Amino acid sequence: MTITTHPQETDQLAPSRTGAIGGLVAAAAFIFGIALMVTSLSDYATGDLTNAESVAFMLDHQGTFYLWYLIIFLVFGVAIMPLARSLHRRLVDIRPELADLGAVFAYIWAGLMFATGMTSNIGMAAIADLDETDPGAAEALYSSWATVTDGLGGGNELVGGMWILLVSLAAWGTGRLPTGLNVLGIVSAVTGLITLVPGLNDVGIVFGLGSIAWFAWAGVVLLRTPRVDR
Amino acid sequence: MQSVQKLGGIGALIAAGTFVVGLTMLATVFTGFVSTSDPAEAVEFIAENQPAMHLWNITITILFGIALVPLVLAVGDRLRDAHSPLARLASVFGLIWSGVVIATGMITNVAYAAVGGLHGTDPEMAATVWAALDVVINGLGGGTEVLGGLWVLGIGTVALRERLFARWVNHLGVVMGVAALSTVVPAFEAVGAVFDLGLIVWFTAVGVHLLADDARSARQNQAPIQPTKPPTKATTQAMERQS
Repeated sequence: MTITTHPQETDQLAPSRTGAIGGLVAAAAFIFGIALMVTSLSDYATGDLTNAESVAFMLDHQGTFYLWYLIIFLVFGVAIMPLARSLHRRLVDIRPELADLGAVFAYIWAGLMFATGMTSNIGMAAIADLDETDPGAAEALYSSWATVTDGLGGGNELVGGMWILLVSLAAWGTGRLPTGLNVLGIVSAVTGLITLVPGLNDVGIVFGLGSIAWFAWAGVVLLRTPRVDR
Repeated sequence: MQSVQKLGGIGALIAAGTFVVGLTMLATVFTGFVSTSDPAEAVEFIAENQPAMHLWNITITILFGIALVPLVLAVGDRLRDAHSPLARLASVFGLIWSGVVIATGMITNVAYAAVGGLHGTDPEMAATVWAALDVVINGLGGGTEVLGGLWVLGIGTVALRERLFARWVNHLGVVMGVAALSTVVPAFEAVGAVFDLGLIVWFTAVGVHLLADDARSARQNQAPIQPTKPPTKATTQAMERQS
């Protein structure tokens, strides 16, 4: 009986359907978020509105906002966990330290996404209530709330950027993930980290688009067993 | 595993450094900001000192939070042989601490820009908004040091039993952990300053220890280090079948 398979390799490189679904759902959630941002929420998303106008717009579109936050934060947060787990498993035997560090940032990111989603929806309801009795206070509350949710969930893309960067570096030169995916990951991640510089957080959109491609591609990659170049 | 130890040691020294920079700036350039309890004054200070405030915030929260991750993983690895559930629990709190500190930093970053901008158009609103944000920032990032305290206390306790670091370092960890947890009582919030100062010493000592150990084991392994892959059950079986 001759043995032709390499059990350890197939274990590490085995396709992961849950990871793939996570990646594809994460990409879809991102696409949904951006699509809504440039269509029904475009007036709001430009940031040109005053606080009073923003509150009025938000209260007119509460249902849409509710759905938007649900998808881009809560669904997205759930989706990245299996993706992070699968990517970690694919890399941990060959680059344990980078794979571990990357996974920690992914889980922190998921936690932040839950925190943002919950704060978003509860805060919106509180603003709506306050607006009925004291519109001035509602405006002030809106401004505080927008700062907190923006800080946690989007204004700075630091944590997501760290994860994608560490995964790409861990996979670099190992053949475990395609080189193109790693290049895309590094470029997107660096733009994510740049959002930290005040005044440059518009670069976040590059991170957004880059990560959509990265999530979708990583999802597809996880469905297949790669050819490892030796 | 060696390189986690090295990254952890570097992380510890960076963490100590961020505390030193943070406290120094607090005691010199930001005294006016710290001492004021008037949100309007605080907003004015932020608006006038934006670049310095951003730099300060990024150092003490974001840089610190990132440096903490390899440190927590490295110390957790060192204590793995102790098979102590307490060490594993403590590591989880260490990682949550890192996440919360980074979250604080990102909120603060956006908050400085928001109240700075609002200050130009509506100073009164800016003061109200800052009062709310200050509560969030302070609650997550410093007013009460529960998460950091649980990590340091848990690690200190197990390290004391396992004699991981020098005795005084382990004792310091336990004392700092207790001090940090006492900040849950509002009257003891000022004890947080003791925690900050003690942590600088603790981080430095732990960092030096991790780096020294890493260098020592590198010397012991003069032969080129083989990537150590523990054979999985599957490979062992395959080898048995082949032979």
